[in-house]
Amino acid sequence: MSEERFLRIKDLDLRFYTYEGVVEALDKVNLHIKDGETLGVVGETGCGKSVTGLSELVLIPPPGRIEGGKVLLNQDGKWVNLLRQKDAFLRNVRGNEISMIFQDPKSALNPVYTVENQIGEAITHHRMEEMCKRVIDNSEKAKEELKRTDLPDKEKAKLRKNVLSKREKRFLERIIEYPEDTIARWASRIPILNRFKKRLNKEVKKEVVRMLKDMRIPDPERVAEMYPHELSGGMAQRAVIAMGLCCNPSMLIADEPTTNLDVTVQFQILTLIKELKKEYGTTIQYITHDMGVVAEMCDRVAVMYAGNVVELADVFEVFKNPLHPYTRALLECIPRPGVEFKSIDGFVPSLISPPAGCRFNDRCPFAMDKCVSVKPEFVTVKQGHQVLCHLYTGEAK
Amino acid sequence: MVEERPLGTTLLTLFEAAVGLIEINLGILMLLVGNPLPTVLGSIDAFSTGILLVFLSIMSLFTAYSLWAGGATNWIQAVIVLVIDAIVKIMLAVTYGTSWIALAATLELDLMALYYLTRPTTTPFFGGDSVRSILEKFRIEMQPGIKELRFTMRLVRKSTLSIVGAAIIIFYVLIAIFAPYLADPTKAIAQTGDPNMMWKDNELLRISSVQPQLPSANHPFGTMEGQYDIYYGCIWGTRQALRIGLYVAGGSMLIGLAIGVFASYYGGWIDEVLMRFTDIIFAFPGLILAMTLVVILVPLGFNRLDAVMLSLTIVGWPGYSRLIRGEILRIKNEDYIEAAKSVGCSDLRIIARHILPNSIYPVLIVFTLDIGTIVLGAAALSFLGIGAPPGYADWGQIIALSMNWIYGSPSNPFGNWYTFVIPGLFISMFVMGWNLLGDALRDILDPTMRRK
Amino acid sequence: MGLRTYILRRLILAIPVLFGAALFVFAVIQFLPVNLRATLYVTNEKQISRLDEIARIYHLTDPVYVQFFYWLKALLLERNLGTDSLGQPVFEAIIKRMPTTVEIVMYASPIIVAIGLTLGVLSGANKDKLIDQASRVLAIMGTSLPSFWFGIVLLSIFYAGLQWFPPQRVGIDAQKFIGMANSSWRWYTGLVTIDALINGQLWIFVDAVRHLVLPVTVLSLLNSAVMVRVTRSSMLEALSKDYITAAKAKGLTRKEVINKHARRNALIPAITISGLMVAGLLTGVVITETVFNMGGIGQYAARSAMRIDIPPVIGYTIMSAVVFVISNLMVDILYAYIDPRIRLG
Repeated sequence: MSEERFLRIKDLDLRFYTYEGVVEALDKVNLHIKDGETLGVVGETGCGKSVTGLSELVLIPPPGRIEGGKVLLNQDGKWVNLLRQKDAFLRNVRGNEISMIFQDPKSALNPVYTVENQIGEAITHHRMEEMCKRVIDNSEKAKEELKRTDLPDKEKAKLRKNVLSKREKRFLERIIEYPEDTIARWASRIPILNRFKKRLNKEVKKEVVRMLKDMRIPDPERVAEMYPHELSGGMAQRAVIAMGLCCNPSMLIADEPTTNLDVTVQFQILTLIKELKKEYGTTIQYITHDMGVVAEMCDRVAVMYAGNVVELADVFEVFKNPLHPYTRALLECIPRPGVEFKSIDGFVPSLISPPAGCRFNDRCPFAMDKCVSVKPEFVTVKQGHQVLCHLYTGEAK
Repeated sequence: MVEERPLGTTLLTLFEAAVGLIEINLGILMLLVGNPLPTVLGSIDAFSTGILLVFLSIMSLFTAYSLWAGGATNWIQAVIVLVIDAIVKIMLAVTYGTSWIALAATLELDLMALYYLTRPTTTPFFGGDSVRSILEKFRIEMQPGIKELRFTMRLVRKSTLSIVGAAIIIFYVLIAIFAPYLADPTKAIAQTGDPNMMWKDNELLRISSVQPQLPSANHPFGTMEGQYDIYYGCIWGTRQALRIGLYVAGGSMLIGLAIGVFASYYGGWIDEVLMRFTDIIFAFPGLILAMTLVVILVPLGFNRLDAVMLSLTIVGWPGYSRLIRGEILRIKNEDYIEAAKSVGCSDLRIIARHILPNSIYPVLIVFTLDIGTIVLGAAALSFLGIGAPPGYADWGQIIALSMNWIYGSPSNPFGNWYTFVIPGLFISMFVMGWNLLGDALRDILDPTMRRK
Repeated sequence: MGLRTYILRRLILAIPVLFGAALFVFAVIQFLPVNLRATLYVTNEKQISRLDEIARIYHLTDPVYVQFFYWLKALLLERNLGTDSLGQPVFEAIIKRMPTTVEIVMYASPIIVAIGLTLGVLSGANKDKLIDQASRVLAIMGTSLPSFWFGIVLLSIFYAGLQWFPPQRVGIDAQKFIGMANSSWRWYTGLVTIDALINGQLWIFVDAVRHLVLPVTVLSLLNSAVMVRVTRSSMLEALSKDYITAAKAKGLTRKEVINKHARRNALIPAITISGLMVAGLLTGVVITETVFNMGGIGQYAARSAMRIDIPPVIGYTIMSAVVFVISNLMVDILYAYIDPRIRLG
């Protein structure tokens, strides 16, 4: 984990244009994620945490539209605004540099394709060159091996399967050179010519099985050939995580991955994610509504309310010293044995006609006159701790 | 609060006084007055006969529904109400003729519905709350419903397709209502006694008994084989189309709904048996079965048109049964039904209050589309010679008569275009209007599409 | 549930439906007086004068269930569907006309499926764009136009006007060639187009195709409207699912997402509509064959209905029911096979 910032969201505005009115889903959202850390984005349902994640991949469906702000990605030291990039560029980022996994694993997987097909799809899309090279290497190695004279026939037959014909080799090399090659694409559809595809697919499948094994899935070969509805919830989520990590992305956005699972399975998945983080070193943006998970998994926390990021700080800071009134209220609401059950009075404001000032003002115990009409600024109260609240605008560093 | 409008308040007070004075139950009072909505329809009733039967059935069904939905705890009271209802209607019919029945029935309905919607859940059916408090409760209870309705209406107005569809339908309805003024039936009545049979131009008959004649001043759309006036046929054909459409669609809807609700309410073996029966009817393509039924009914003495209507109704009701049953079963399992049950609502009340209003939308959509389908089917049957007799003012029949003339003469292949193009356009536009409306309704009422 | 269980279940359910359908037809027939019912069992002209004997043989005055048994026996074992008013045994008449109808349906079905599915997918994928609006307009027109009228208009334009596509099955020259006493023509399948190719008479093939164009067009266009509509909504539903977003998040192009992920999920429910298409065809041939004077089963049924000739109509109805139920069964099985959720239980 470094202090180097990996991704920055600056003043992001997102609106949904519906029949009932314009929904101001995100209002000047600011946050940043550091390389290698786990950032928790926590808030109630509807606070905008999911669409923040989708905005980072520029995947907002209509009638939503990003109306302002920047999503800056750090690529080799240069900052690139993803919102202004062409589709081809974004497709290269998605699944490859930034991956996203979703809440309901069974619905995130296409029910009519096998697990292997879907994970393999991501691999084929982003790691084609690597896979082709592997197939060619295998072929060369097999050719070398076959030169030996002391092999039993069975071994020889196995090795011969790996050897590519000259034509197949040429196809693969073509793909390496021209990834979008149309000739290779057409050839892969014609029955006799597409034998090179079979080798490729085998290699991809090997990779898929390896990923599934990494996800601690028992009997990965069999699971790979299963359809999503045959998997249990936990298994399916592991497959989805495998799909997200198979191209070794620098960052993974996890949108409430354990919410739909049983508690015991939840624990397993969380443990898995922690272990994977240690192995792969991926930056993780963990979206959740569960403060307990945040405490367990995250290095830093962004608290969101009604389309704003209201507090952004180190996880210990947030729990020890919550600054924003909403964060304080949230923490007080965590059920504890022996303590009276509390909740926050009032309701989340309608985002179609949001309050002019601070969106929390009608439920805030510290609300001032200013809060009703003037929007607060996102200020840094102390090193690494930012708040969106009028209480602290005087104390800005 | 009920809005304080002077006139409204005065009327309310008067009404209250009347009720109090007469000391007649609001329920019975409702039976003695009518309802504005079908008054309008009743006026059409006066123009074109034959829709009366459907009206009465609809009225009775709504009456029964209101009673039932009101959760009449005392069925004897409900029966009394229905009997008085029937007596009143018959008296009015005998004294004043058909439109007054519609008038009476409709006023009754509105107040019945009002009462049903506003009555507090704990008082018995013939309880007595002050009218003002009833209306107040009505407003509050109806708020979300009214908002929904306003929202729907807004969507309807926005959708061009539905406006076009509705416009087309209104156009045809107007033609049907004013048919006697648009196409004078005196000659037709003089020739056959039935305004629905097209009249023949005797002068032209002397020239040629079969050759269709081009449109002229006397015959705006021309004549066809037998010198029938096509214009007359098309105008009065509109009445026929609306008659068949509403009769069959309405009839099959009522029967289908009744059976479907019955089956899903009681469940068990009744449900199984009824559903098997609908499965059997579904084993046949619709029009084919209708053909068979007509062929059986005619030797039994039905005239062809009646046979067609009866057959199409028999073929059509299972569709509605399945539809409403599917909706009811779907809603039955939703959480708010569980909630209602846990509060202690009776089954009847649950069906009427929660299930039916939510499940009625698909039925309405299908009804709209069905009218188009039925008219197409009836036209096809008439074309094949199974429906209206030759010379009858029915669009399909006119096209059937034109079959011999579609090739024109060798020198003028399109010479007789008017014999089939014009009636065909009438049919297509009519069906298209209903299809547009139904499609637009479907898009509007689809809950997943609404919040986009 | 597993595929085998599913298929078995559907098969078992289909049998009572067929039985019930037969029962229903029988029940409807029962409303007729005895002598009319007897005509349903007559197999040749001579028997028409001996209706009492027919009534006795088939127990037409006995209780209902006895009659039903004998009726079924006549239907299934003796292939006795009665005689039409022209004296022809119905069963033979249907068999004779079957190839004509089969030929029309054979060419219309793939066209319907192709247009319906392709246009539906394109329409759903490009919602509210030009192709979608156009196909919606076509769909509405398809369900609004009376098929017989459409046929007549086409005839007027393309035959009376342009002389391109004539009605009836084959032209006069071809008829003469086939019907000649010492003709070299041999019937193999009964389908003019196929047999013309087998016989090596290319000109007959072309002629037959020319005659088929209009009827097939009328049948296909109007029946594909429903399919377009259903496929479209099925496609829209598939596109709103989570796995589409997940696929996009993997970095796939829009085309890949639509063609690979959405399309298959959309087509699966659309297949179930094929059953309805069969019903539409069964009804459509009645009208289309009449308009174009093709001489198939449909026209036979229509003409009989017009004359209130009961046996052929009953025959056609029973045949339709059987075809319909069986094709629904096949469609259900196909659906179960394609959808892995059902196939692998």
